[in-house]
Amino acid sequence: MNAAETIATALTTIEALNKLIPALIANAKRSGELTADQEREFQARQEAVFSQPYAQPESVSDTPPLPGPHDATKPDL
Amino acid sequence: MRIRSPIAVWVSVFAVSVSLLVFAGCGGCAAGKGQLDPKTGIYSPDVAADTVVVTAEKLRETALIVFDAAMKAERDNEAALKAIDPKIHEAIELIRREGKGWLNDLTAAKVAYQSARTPENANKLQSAMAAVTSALASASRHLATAATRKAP
Repeated sequence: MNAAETIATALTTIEALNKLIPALIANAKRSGELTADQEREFQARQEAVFSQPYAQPESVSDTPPLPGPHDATKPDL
Repeated sequence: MRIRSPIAVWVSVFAVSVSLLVFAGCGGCAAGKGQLDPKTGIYSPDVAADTVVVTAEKLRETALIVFDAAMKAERDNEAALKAIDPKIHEAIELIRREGKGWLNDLTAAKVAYQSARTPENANKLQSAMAAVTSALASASRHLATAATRKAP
């Protein structure tokens, strides 16, 4: 990793940190139940998080494909 | 092999630690005011909030923040973390596959409890919370391993 990449990574991380801490503090301070709008906002954020490329599980393409339907017109080998 | 962005891992560990401390230290998360009836959508700002609901909502929020940070940090450093301990990757992959389902289960249990605040629904909500808490602890443990062990 060169210097530019290191700085870019650090800046990205600081940006993430800046977003993370206020969110955690606000969450800790909250004392009432969520309103319907806040509930919808949470659901939207959850969807956004699990739609990110890094949230996608590994492809299972390495596993052998399931056998297809039996073709009665062809003899069994 | 070295971690490409160790700061990101530390951020994740920090987030997990802070969030678990905040959650664990909330003493059952004493609730304030504001109660939602999901059946009608009516929010009563002067009615005392339910401690169980507030705790579930805080846990869910914390889990989303931590899962997000953990999945990103792991993907950014996947090869290096696999070299340190393959179980880190397995744990985060489990969150990628099941995390959304855990949160949806927690939400469903919370809404069911808010709709009918019975002891039975409270127990179901506690069970859903336990599953998410366990996943949070797992993410914390594996990221802490990543941050404190040197790669071979």
